[in-house]
This record gives sequence, structure tokens and C-alpha cells, in this order.
Amino acid sequence: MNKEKGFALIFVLMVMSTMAILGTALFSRSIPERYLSERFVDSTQAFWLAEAGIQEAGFVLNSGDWTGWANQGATDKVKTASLGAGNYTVTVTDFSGANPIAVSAGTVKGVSRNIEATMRKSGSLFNAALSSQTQFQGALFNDVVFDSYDSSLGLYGGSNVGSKGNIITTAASAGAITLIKNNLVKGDVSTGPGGTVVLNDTSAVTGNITDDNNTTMNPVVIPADLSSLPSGGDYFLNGGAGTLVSGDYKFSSFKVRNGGKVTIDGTVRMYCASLPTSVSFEIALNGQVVINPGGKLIVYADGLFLVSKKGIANNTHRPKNLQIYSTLNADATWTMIGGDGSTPFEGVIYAPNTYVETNNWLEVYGSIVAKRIFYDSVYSMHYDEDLKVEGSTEQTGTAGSQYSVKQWKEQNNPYPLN
Amino acid sequence: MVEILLCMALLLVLFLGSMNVYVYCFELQETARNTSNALNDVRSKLEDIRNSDFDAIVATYNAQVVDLSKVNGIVIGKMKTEAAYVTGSNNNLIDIRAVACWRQKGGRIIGEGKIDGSGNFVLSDLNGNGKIDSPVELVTAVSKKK
Amino acid sequence: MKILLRNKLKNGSCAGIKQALKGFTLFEVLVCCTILSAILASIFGVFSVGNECWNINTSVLDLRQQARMSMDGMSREIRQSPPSSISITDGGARINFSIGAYPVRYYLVNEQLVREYIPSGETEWVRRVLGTDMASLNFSLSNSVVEIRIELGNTVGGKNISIPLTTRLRLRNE
Repeated sequence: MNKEKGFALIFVLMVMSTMAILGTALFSRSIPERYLSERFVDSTQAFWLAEAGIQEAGFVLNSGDWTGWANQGATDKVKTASLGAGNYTVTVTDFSGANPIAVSAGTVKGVSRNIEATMRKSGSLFNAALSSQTQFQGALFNDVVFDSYDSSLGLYGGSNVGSKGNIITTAASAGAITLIKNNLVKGDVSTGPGGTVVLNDTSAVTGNITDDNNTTMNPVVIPADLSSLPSGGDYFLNGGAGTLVSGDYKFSSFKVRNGGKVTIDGTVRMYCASLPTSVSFEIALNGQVVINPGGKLIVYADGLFLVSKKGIANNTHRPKNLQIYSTLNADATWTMIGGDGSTPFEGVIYAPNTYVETNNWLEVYGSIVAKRIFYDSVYSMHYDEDLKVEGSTEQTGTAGSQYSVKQWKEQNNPYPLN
Repeated sequence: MVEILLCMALLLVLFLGSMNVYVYCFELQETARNTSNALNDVRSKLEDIRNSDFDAIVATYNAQVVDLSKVNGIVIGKMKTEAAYVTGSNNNLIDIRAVACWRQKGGRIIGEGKIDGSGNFVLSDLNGNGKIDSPVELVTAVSKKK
Repeated sequence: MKILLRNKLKNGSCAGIKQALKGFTLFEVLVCCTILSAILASIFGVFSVGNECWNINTSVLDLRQQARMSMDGMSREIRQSPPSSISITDGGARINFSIGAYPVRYYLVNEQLVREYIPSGETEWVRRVLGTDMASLNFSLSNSVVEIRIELGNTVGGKNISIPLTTRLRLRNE
């Protein structure tokens, strides 16, 4: 009888051993990778839960409604809440003090991230309709009214009319604020300590008249990432159309004339770095700048700022979306906003060391802060109360009455610092 | 002859088993890769929301659906954001939620979604709980600064 | 005598001839070697493909993990810096910032991600390598949002692997 011999089985075993080794190696790398990926998701979720705790702490400090929070000692509050796939626990230390500290721990499946935020009370740069450092005498025309509205609720009018058309100055002289020509301030009027308010003709103030205004006007700080840009030279549109899309721009001057129309599409920050005696920004001879809905224009000007006729059309109808900052530091150098009656000015102007003038045919929505203000408009001015929201404009104000984050840090920095 | 047949049968069975393991491992890796990419997109979206004008957040981001970043030049999934004022907060606090769902190479769907008539991936609330569920989900809140 | 010899031949010599006939012919050996070579080649082929696959996947996993860790570490630190202390130089390839009183910077040195900081009371930068195989690193800052772009790359078995990752983060401090 013949004995048959073969090694097919051995061959199979050899091939399968090889595949098993490779499969095991692959498996041993894939499982930890999947695990690490899931832990990364958990960690990121925990971070955003901790952020939610900080945000809630800020909200409740400003609202004063501590419903749902428990006392921890005499000066602290704590709250734990479930959100999404995990929960957060936030503790506010010294909640009634000037600088409460909120510590929030977000936890998802045992992974925790902790954030600590020191709060402070801070305010906005634009707290009044008109704010100056010298005597205010105005307005130039009869029956001008200074009142307010809230642009976050819609256009001015109807139920959206308020009595916060405040005029303030730090001047402390007699007649520091002098109202003439039957002007009406629907709001408060405040001078520097010892200053007085004079109401000529049948001018009136519906709110309080005080002499305790000592607000300081900080100089304009050009953001470093804007000032360090290379200059794009002179921007001059003499007729025709142009568009500026979202981004930062630096020019020697910006001029639109002779029916030229520049459209602002997105968030545009512009630094017009000219000599103080030169014209930085000019709209003249039926030129116009139009801010499209969703857009925002922020202008820093080192020189003269002159707007006339069709001016700047802010089609977002939110004054915070048109911000003009002047670094001019001299008297009788101008930021002038004018109009032909067709386009109101819906914006804010901050010129702490120079003059601002509005001319005849211009209705003004927003706020003006300047060393000296000449309100020479036929039309009334409407202060936008939404400007009090801190952070709504580029430059920040001094101490106010609402809490915001002063210092934010994540505990357990990933790398050593000391 | 019998041995040959036995070995072939054994080889086939073991081979198929190994292939299953390989495919599973590749799927695990693909899931991990897509999860990292999706999480990165969702995280960046939340940072954008945090940087937005508070009053525009609900109008802009509630029920917003955008494509996830492309993987090898192909859009594989979508991200949805939800933003709603917290009840009783006087519109000063917003709850934000962002989820990402996608379809992997083998057809497996991570999160809730389906393929529409045009062969594109669309989000779909398959379990009827009123929201899109996904393992890649970030939830946070934003308060109005005054 | 003849009969005896015939019988002897019949019995003893047949066994000897049979013994002489045991062994392999050259042809059989050649055939066996050919078959064995084919089997070993197929085994080696499977092993080779599997090994290359394993190398590539391991490399991809390592790069992806490095990308995640690097991005997460940088994000957690940069987020704490105020915009005014951030300075981006070298065409966006280097970022300098501060966390409280501690200056920190990130940049690439020979495809290695390097973090340097000055500890309290010191004046010299202390360096730490956070990751390798980083082909590019880019930072940009606009309106309090920092965008970080990284790309990790490696070559395995002649095949180029690239893992790009981009993230945006809002600076939390004023």
C-alpha cells in the first residue's frame, strides 16, 4: 500500500500564521487609536461644558437672579447642571464683590476640564448721545430733540423710542452745557463737578441735571495687527463702483468722489494712516459708502475725516456697525459728518482729542464722543441704547455697572510655565 | 485528496475571518480619522459663534446646516448648529448645540442621516426625538455682555 | 552451480538493485524546489503587502495623534493670551504671546514643533520639542480670532503621507 505524504496543511498553517500576526498587529494599533479618539471627543465636550458654566456665571452676576444656585458659605454660590453628554459645576466666589471669581468644571465620562474666570465691572465707551470734554452749546437749529432707541429691537419709531438721549461733559464751568433754540433733551444732562446747565429760549431737559460727570476719555489705541499692515497707498474712487470685502486694510488716504460708490461687504477694518493735517477719509461730490446688511465698517483715521452729501449709508441700521475713531490730537481739526438729507448717519464717532461737527441736513443715530462737539444739524439725534453692551464696539470703556470677564484661564495648563 | 480538500476549506474559513478583522481595523481607523476631522469642524464653528455679535447668534446659527470639511476632496457629511434663548433669561443667555454626522466609505452612517434620491448625504432625525444625535456633539452657552 | 548463482542473483541482487533504486531523481528535486519557491513566494508576498500596509497605517496613526496633541496643546495656551500680546512673525510661521507674565512662542525647527517659554525669574528661553514630522505651521490673527494651520507629513515605502489640520480659536482675554 502506498503511503501518500503531503504538506498542504503545513502550507495553510504557515499562511494563516502570517496573516494572524499581521492582523494582531493592526488590531493592537487600531483599538487604542479608537479609544484615544473617543477620549479626545470627551475632553473637548468637557471644555465647552466648562465654558457654559462660565457664561452662566456671567449671566447670573448681571441679572442678580440666583435661582437654582446653592449657597456655599456666606460669600459663594455654586450650581451643578447637566448639559449634553455630561455636566458642569460652577462656583462663584465673592459674588457680591468687585471681582468675583468663577471656576467651572465640565465633566464628560470622567474626563474633566476646568476654567477659571475673574470678573470685573466694565462699561461701554458710548454711554450717552453726546459726550465731550468742553462746553457744549447747541443745537444750532430750532426744535432739535435728543432722545434714544434700541437698535437691537428694530428701527427708531413707534414703541422703540426712549428717554436716554443723555448729554454729558466733563467741563466744569458755568454754562458747561447750554441748550438754545428750543432744544429738548429727553434724558439726563451732566457736567463736571461745579459746572452748570443753562436752558435758553424754551429748551428743556426731561431727566436729571447733575454735575458729577468725571468720565475720562482714553486715547484711541490702533490695534497692533492693523497698524502693522503694509500701506496700500491712496484709495481713490472718482466715480464708478468699488467693493471692500471682509478684511483689514491700511491706506494713506481713502477718498470717494464724483458719484463713486464703495460697497462694504463683510467686516472691514480700515486704518487711514495719514499726516494729522492731511485728509484721511473723504466722501465728497455725491460719493458714497454703503454698508451692506451683515457688514461692518471700522475706521481709524490719523488725519481729517470729512463726509458730506450722500455720506455713509449703513444698511444694517445698527450704529455699532459703523465705528469711526480719530487719533487727531489738536483743537480745530475736524471730523465732520454731513448729509443732504437723504442718508442719515447711523454710527459712532470717538474723537477724544479733537472736534466733531455735524452739518445741516443730517439725522444722527448712535453716539458721538469728542473733545468738543458742534451739533449743527437740523434734525434730531437718537442715542442707541444697544451701544451700552460692552464689546459692541472695538475700543473698551472704563468701569461701569455690568460684569464681564477680566481674566480667563484654563486650569492645568498642558505644558509647564514655571 | 481528502487532506487537500480539508486544507482548502480551512484556509477559506480562516482567510475570511482574517479579512473581517482587517476590514474592522480599517473601519476603526477611518472612524477615528473622520471623528477627529468632524470634531475639529464643530469646535471651530463654536469658536465662530463665540466671536459673533450676540444679537445675531440665534438668527444666524439656529438650524444652520453646513458641509463638513472635505476628506480626500469629497464632502462626506454635514454639521448642524442649534441656538435658542434660555427660558427666563430675558434673551440674555443662549444655549448652543452643534452636531456632526457623516457617511463612511463602507456605507456606515455615523450619527443620524440618510442618502437622498440624488445620492447625497442629508441629516435626518431617524429616532424621532426632535434632534439630530451624534457621538460628535458639542454643547455650550453664551451670555450677553453688558 | 549455475542454479545457485541464478538463485543468488534472483534473491540477493534484487535487494541490492532495489536499494540502489532509493532516492530522488533530479527532475523530482527540481519540481519540488519550484513548488516550494512558489509557496514561499506567495507567503512572502502576503507578508510583504501586510507589512507595508502596517507601516503606512502605523505612520498615519502616529501622525494623526501628533497632529491632535499638537493642535490641542497650542490651542489651550494661545486661547489664554490677550490679542495685544500676540505677535506673528516669519510670514506666519512663528507666534509669540504671553500667558499672564510668561512669554511663550511656537515655531518649527527642522520639521519639529518647538515650544519655548521663559520661566519665572529667568531670562533664557527654555525649549521643548512637542512633535516631529511637521511639514508646515502657520498662524494668522484677525479680530481676536487666531487660525492655526498645521500639516504633518512622512514618507513610508515611497508613499507620501500628509495630515493637514486647521482650527480657529477666539482669544478669551482682552
